[in-house]
Amino acid sequence: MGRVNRTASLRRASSKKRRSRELSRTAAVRKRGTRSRRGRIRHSGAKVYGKTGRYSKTVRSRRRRQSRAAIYAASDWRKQTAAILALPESTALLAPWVQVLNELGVTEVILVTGPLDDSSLRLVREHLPGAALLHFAEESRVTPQALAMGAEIARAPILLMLAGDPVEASRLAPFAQIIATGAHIAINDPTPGGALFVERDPASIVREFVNVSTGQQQLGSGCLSVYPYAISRQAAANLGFARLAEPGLALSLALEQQMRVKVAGHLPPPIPLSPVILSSELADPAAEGEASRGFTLQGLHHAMEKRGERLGFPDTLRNRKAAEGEA
Amino acid sequence: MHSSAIHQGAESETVRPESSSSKISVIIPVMNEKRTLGAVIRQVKKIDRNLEIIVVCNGSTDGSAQIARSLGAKVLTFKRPLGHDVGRSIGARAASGDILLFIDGDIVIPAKDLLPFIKAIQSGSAVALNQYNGPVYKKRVHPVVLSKHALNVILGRPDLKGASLTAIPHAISRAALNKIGAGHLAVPPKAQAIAIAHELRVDAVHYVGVGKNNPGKRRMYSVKNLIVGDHLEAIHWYLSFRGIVQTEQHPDGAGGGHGKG
Repeated sequence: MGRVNRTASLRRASSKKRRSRELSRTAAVRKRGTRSRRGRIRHSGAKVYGKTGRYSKTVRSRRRRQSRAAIYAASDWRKQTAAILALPESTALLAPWVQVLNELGVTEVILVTGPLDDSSLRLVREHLPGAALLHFAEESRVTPQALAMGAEIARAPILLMLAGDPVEASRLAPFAQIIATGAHIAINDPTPGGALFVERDPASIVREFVNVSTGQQQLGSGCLSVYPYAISRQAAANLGFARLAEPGLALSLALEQQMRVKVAGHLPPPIPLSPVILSSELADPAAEGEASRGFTLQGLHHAMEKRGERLGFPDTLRNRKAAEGEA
Repeated sequence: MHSSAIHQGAESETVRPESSSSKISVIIPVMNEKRTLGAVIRQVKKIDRNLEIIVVCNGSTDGSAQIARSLGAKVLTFKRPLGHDVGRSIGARAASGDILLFIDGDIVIPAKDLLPFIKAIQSGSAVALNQYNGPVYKKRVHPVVLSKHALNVILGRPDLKGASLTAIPHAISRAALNKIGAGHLAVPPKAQAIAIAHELRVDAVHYVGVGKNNPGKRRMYSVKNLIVGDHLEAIHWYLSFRGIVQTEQHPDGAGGGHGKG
């Protein structure tokens, strides 16, 4: 009798211990392979109801479908991507770019070029047979505005915007892939990971400052003025294709609309395209100078209009009246 | 702790500027800095015995004002703290010199390191800045350091790197003061933007390492948001000056002045 009781009490103790251990484990780190309560419900294929209360789909099947779609999209990004390449001076860079675009194997290519000689035209026709040409008589007309026009005529849902020196196809692919997996904009942060601040170019410093002061530190010194970048066609349409010619403003608007903006690479910035002179900047050579130096303050200006000149950095310490001599 | 702010190798002999024809005013904002203030003033006096020393004592309860008075300084007293750099505006307004040298009451800088700023103004600079750039030998810099560098690039003066009116010591000419406006000296990046936008000669003239092991650094980090905001305000002023930002009434000759209360 005593033996039975002892066994029972031992069993009770051990089950208590086990339970407490399980509880503590749940609180800290769940054992691999086990599911949370929410996870078990999802896995069970329980029916879910939308906000309207109407029965929609099973969570399980929806999740499967979504993940399958994401995997398909990521692997099939080439079929969804249009490469839009700006080449003001096509003679030297055309051949290497043609090679890169062939390696990239995207479904659609749009070349925005300056004057093309016969041999260049032949090269395009032979090696990029399906490419569309947006051809300008003067190099100086190949601006971000021209590139934005190229984006507008593209049909593919992912727009890979290219300019400057050729970049390996393998380093361009992540930009399109990130869009294929759900981001709206994939930008290039040209600040090399290991580089010291003192080694940075002035334009990168300004772009980083703009991102930090607008609360987007994670974007480093990235901006839509730094090629390459990728954008979903839908996002570009929502912003307005013409906005792509105002890269700082376009990024600021995208963030304001809570679009998902991610860094897809750290490639050295190409020489900026000839700047677009906006009507508001016609009498402002400084703005032109900024654009040609690789940065723009349009985004900062827009943020200041929305949130005030100091953005989220108020001056609550100074007695400004005393400074003005009024105290 | 404050002893760490005292630069090594302070000289005992008087270090005079070559030309003593221009009158020098030294402006020293002070808030409870009795430990260092005496040494600060003694170093200043080595530059020139006839200079005007203006101590703007705000929110001080430790006898800083008495120390300044006993050393012959003109003392402007305010019971309450005026806030970051407001003392510079008040001191500049009270100054009568042709050259205005700005330092702080908590960092003792040897006279030999102050002299180059005065000499630069005597040789034609309108604004003479400290060449101190902040800690830039790292991958991610402090937002204040980033702001200073970015502002100079935006103003078209990347050569100035991180040199800023935010850092002491610096000197300005009377003509520059008139152009900038004493009130704007309370927001140093804005004063710098006004000076550069009006094509005043702004030079980084001498390096004084004010960022290391001194109270100024601790203070700078505690007012990070204030200083980043100051730089944004300066950029806003500059965009407005260029006519990009539409404001009700744009900056007058003295720089703008839509300051907050």
